[in-house]
Amino acid sequence: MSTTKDRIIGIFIEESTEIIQQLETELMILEESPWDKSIINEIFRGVHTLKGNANSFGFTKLGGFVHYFEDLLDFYRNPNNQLNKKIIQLIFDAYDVIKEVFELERDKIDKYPKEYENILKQIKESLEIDLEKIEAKIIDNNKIVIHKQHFHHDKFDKDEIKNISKDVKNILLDSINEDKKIFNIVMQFDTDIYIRGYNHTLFFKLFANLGTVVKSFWYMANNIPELEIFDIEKNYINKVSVYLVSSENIDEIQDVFEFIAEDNEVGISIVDISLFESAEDEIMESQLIKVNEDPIKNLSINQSNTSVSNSNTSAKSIRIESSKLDELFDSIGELVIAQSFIDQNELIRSLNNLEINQYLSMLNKTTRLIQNKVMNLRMIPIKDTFLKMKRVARDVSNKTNKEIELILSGEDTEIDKTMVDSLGEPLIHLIRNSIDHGIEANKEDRINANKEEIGKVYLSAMHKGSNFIIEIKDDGRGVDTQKILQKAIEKGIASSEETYTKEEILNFLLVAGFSTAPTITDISGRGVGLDAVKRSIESIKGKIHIESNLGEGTTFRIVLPLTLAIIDGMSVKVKDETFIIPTLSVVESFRAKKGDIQKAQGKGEFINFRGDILPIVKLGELLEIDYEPLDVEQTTLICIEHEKGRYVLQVNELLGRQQVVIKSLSKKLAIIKEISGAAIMGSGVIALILNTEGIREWLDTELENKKIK
Amino acid sequence: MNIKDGVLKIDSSLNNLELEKLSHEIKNNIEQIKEVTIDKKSIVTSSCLFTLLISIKKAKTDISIPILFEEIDIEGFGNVSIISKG
Repeated sequence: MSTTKDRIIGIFIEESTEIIQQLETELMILEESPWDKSIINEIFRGVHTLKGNANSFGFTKLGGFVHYFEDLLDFYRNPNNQLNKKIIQLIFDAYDVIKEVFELERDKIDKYPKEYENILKQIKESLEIDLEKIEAKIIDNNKIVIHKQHFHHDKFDKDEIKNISKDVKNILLDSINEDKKIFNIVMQFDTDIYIRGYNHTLFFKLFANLGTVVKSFWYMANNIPELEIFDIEKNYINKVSVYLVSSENIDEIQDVFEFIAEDNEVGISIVDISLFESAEDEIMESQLIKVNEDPIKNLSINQSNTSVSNSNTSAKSIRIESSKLDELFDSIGELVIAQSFIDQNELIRSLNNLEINQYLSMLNKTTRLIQNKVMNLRMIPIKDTFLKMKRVARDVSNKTNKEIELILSGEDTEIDKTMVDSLGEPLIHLIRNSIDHGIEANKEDRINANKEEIGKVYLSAMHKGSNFIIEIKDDGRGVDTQKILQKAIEKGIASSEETYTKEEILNFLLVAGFSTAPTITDISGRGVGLDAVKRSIESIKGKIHIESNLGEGTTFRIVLPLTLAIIDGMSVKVKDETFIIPTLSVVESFRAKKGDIQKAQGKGEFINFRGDILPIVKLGELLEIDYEPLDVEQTTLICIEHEKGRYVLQVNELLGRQQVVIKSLSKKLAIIKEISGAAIMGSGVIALILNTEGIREWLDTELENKKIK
Repeated sequence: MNIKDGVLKIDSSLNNLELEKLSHEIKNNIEQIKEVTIDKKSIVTSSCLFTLLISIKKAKTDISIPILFEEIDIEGFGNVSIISKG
C-alpha cells in the first residue's frame, strides 16, 4: 500500500512528465516563431514550475540545471533580446538534458547525463553569467530571486482595511513611523497544495524572517465537508490576506514564493497609508467580521455579499486517473449490453405497447448518448504526438544534411488516449524512414527529378468511417519494387517461382529482418524497424499499408480503430456459434459458384477470387466445431486481407455488421491465437472475436506441413 | 485528545495526518465537546487546522469555537480573522 509521501511524489512525477512533454511541443513552435514572446513565456512558466517541484522533491540535479536554463529563458523573454539559431539549438540541447536528468532521478540512478556539464557551461557562457554572483543568490534551500513578472497582479482589497480593528490598525500605522512598509500579501492557492507538499503556514514561517505579520484574514471555502468526510488532502482556504510589516524591499518578499508563484496565485502590494486614514471614520468594531453570531447559520444570507473568490471551486478541468475512466467505460459497456438485452427481449417485444416502446426508444437513445460521451472522455487530439514528430524530423534532417519540411494536417483529429502512447515509436520510425530512405540524398538529385530542393514529408490524420487514419507521405525517391523483390528472394522471404503483386512486394518491407539499406545508420536501416512498426500497430488492432511510386514518393497508411474498447465487426455464424471478424480485416463477403472452387490434392481447397487463387479456411474445422460440413457453394465466404496474402474464411451465415464492446479472455483462453477476445451480443449470446493474424499463422503452418509431406 | 470539562484543546502543532486522526476521535466523542480552543503553546503547523474547526462546527452547531467568531492573536499569524460563510 502506497504511503501519502509516495502518492505525492507520484503526482510530482506525473506533473513533471507532462510539463516535459509539453515543453517539447512548445519548443517546436518556438523554433517556427522565435519572435513570439508568448511562446517563450509559456515555456518559461513550465520550466519555472518544474524547477520549483524538482527542488521541493529532492530532484536536485534537475533543479540545479533548470535553474540556469530558466535564467536563459528569462533573458530572452525580454522583447529587446531576440533568439537566434544558435540559442534555439542550445535550448533544444538543454531540453534533452532536462528530459534525461529527470528520467535518471526518477529512476533513482545517481548519474548525470553526458551533456549535462557541457550544456550548462554553454548556457552560462551564453548569458555571460558570473557564477559567483548567481551562487550568492542561492540561499540555503536553493531559492533564487523570483521574477517580478509573477507578481504584477494587484489583489489588494481596499475594503478589507475597514475590517481591521483599531488596535491592529494602530500597530500597523506605528510601523510606518519606524521607516517600515506595510505589505499586503494575498495568497490564493489551488485545492491541491497539500498534496503538492505546501501549506500556508510554510510561508508564514518565511515571513517571520522578513518582518512581523500583524494581521491575517483567512477566507474559508463554502464547501468545507462535515467531520465524517474531513479531507486533509484538499485545501479549503480560498484566500489568505496577510499584512506584513517589514523594512525589506518587495523583491525580498517575492522571494518567499519562489517555488509556488504562478500567475494569479499570489499578489503583493505595498499598502498606501492614506487608505488607513480615510477609513478611520468608517471603522466600526462591529463590522470586523460579521459572522459573530454563527458563521454556519449565516451561510445563505451572506453568500451574495462575499468578496471571497470562488476560483478554487470553479476549475474548468479536473485530473482523473485513466484507470477510473476505464472502469467507467467498462460500466457503460455493461449498460449497453443490458440495454440490448431489454431491446431484444422477446417477452417485452411481444407486448407491442406504444408507451413501452417509446420508453425503450428513449432508453436506447440515452444509453447511446452516454456511451458516446464517455467514449469522448478518452479521446484527445493527436496534435501533441504530431508536434513531437517535428523534433524528430528536425534531428534527422540535421543528421542527414537533408533539408526537409514536415507538413502536418488533421492535428486536431481525436484518438483514444490509450492508443496515443503506442503510436509514438512507430511514427518516429516512419518519419525517420521517410527522410533517411525516402527523400533523395541531395538537392541535385531532387532538382534533376524536377522537384523542389526542399524535401516534403506530410503527416496527416483523419477519421474515416469508424477508423482513425494516419498517413506519412514523402515526395522522395519511391520504392524500387524490383530491388525489393530481389532482396526478398535472396533472404528466402519470397520465391522466384511465384509472381507477386506490387502491394505484396511492398509488404516484404514489413517482414522481420528485411532491409534494403546499403549501410546501417543510427537513424534507420537496421532491418528491424518496419517489422517493429507493424507489430506495434497490430498491438493496437491496427493495420499498416504501403503505397509507393518509383520517383514520386512513398505513403505509409496506418488504419486504426477509433477505440480499443469497441470494435467494428462482422458477425458470422458457424452452426450455433457466433463469431466476430474485425471489419478492418475484411475485404469482401461473397457467395461462391461451383466452378470457382479448386481442390489441390493434400493442400485443401482454393477459390478464384477476382483472378487471385486464395486458400479457403473452414472456420468450423479450424475451431473444431461439431457441425455438418456444407458444400462451399452453400456457405458464405469472407475474403480477409493480410500482408502475407489474402485468404478466405468459410462460414455458414453472415449475420451483419455491428460495434461490439471487447471483453478480454481468461488466461487459459488467451493462448488460443485464433481468438483475440469476446463480446456479449444484444441477444445475450457470447461471440468470440477472431484474430485474423492468428488464423493466417495457422494457415501458413498448415500449408507448410502439407508441402513437406 | 484533550477534553476537560467539555473543552477540547487542539494542539496547534498538529500536522495534517494528526489532524485527520483527531477528526476521527472528535467524531466519536463529539457529544462530550462543548467548546473547542486552540492550544497556542507552539506555532500552527498546518492551515488545515482552520478547516477542521469549521468541520467540527458543521458537525455540531452548538459547539462554541471562539476563534471562528473573534479575532485571536496567533504567533506568526498576527491578529487572525477566520471568515467563513459556510
